[in-house]
Amino acid sequence: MFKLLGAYFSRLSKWLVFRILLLLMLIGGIGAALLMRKIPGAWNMPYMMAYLMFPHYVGVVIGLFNYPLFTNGTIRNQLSVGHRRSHIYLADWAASNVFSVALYLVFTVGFFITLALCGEAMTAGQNPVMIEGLPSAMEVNPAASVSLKAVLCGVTLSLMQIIFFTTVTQLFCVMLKGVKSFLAIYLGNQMLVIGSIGIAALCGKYDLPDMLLNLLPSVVCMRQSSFAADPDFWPGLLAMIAETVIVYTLGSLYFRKTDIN
Amino acid sequence: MDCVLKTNNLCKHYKHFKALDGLTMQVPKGAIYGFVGRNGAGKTTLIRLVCGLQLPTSGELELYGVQHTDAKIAHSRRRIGAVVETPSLYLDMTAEENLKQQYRVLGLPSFEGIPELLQLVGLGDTGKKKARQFSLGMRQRLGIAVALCGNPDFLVLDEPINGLDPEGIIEIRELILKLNREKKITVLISSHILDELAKLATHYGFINSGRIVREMSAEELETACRKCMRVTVTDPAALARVLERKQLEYQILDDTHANIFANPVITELVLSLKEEGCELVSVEEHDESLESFYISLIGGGEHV
Repeated sequence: MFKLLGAYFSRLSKWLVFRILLLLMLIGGIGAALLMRKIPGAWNMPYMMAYLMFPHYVGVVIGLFNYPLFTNGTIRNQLSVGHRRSHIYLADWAASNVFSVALYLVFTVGFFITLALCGEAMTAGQNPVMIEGLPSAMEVNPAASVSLKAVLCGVTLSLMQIIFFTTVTQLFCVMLKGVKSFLAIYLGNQMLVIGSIGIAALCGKYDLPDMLLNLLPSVVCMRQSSFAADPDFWPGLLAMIAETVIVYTLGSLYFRKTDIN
Repeated sequence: MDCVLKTNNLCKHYKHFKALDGLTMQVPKGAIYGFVGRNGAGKTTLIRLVCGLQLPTSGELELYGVQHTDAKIAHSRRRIGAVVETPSLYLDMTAEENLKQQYRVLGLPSFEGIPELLQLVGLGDTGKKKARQFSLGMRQRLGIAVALCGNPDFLVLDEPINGLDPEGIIEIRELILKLNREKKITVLISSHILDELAKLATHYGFINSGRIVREMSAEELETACRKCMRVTVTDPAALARVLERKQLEYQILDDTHANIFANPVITELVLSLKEEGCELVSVEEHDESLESFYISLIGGGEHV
């Protein structure tokens, strides 16, 4: 198991694509903070990134990371020398998550540090940024102040959502085993995000969307995307952890039985 | 016989298609086992099962004496190196980096053996060239080098000379012979290029429609393909007595047929057989190539 983890992390650390993406994320985080430093609600940018952009982004980059395993058949080199399938799946999952989480953290930390150094103080009473057409769950609460707790809660939920989407992406990669997984990952993740936005928009109007508030990862993140700590942090986080565990288990069981060519 | 790989009534079904249908075979230790069959006969499917890429539908597969259902099969597989269909490489890595990655997968503590391995497969001077830029032959050799990481004692090669130019074929052939003779590595090599296999293999397994039609040693195959006189007689025992007296090499095939590996004077043979109460029904020259032997075997198998 540790041999495999070593091999996966070594490949990741030396992978040029990973290094370039890390650099781009850092530049993106700093650049976004500089551009948005005078806009109230700019602190929410990483949260919005997490639930609007990162599911697609994660899908593509994790698909790219897993591409040689199936398309070039490098997974055969691991199976044919006696590594257990459950270990291979776990090592790939761990490396994929380090990959996606590292990219998000570099963006977020770069963004927050730059905003803290260059941005205007976010205090109560400022006018929020109103984006027409977005559900109310995504609007900034202008009455709240930035607190470290709120930031940590938001980042934690965002990270958990990224881990969830990475787990879903890995399942797609294992099931589709090739280049067609890219399209499926992109469309699949997009459907989850669009569905979440739709459910968030319907909250308060119907019973079912209300029940799903703490279940769908993107909805959980949308509700958290304000400065104030949400009292539903733990239920949302636990729901996402449970969903990740379920998807991981399904993927691992499927991988144990699937035929590799 | 000490065997590296044994299968018994091995089956692999893909929905309604039977890729392997009760395959039974044995790969002796130290052999170069040529696995011969047409496209779709089941060669690659067997190799996938051996390497653990797929699971059998039913039957037994034993590797170094360990059944595939036993958890210890993982330890047996650590003694295997394999190239299944196409070489499994990271195309954005150099030859050396590919080998280092496999060393890490195997958990080997040092990269000391890598330069020697690259020299062995003739890729010692590829430097920083990425595998993406390699020719097909170079990729095949790098694939074999990856398979050789960790000093396996059983090498499984699936169609390793497919798409290679004549020079590349010779290089791969010499490499396999070298590994077998110098490092005592048992090799299972599948191919449908019979002439090439004939230059390598010490044992053969002929597969058709997911079943082994016949297993034989290179000596047995040579005998079967040797130029000879095939005779049809009424009493093979009498023929044997006559040929023994004349000190001629022969092989009794069945109740009426025999091969004589010489050119006896037919009149003398007929007279001698007449004295033994045996009639010579027909005589024909028999000169079978490996290819025609294979075709007759497969054709015969289909009519069983």
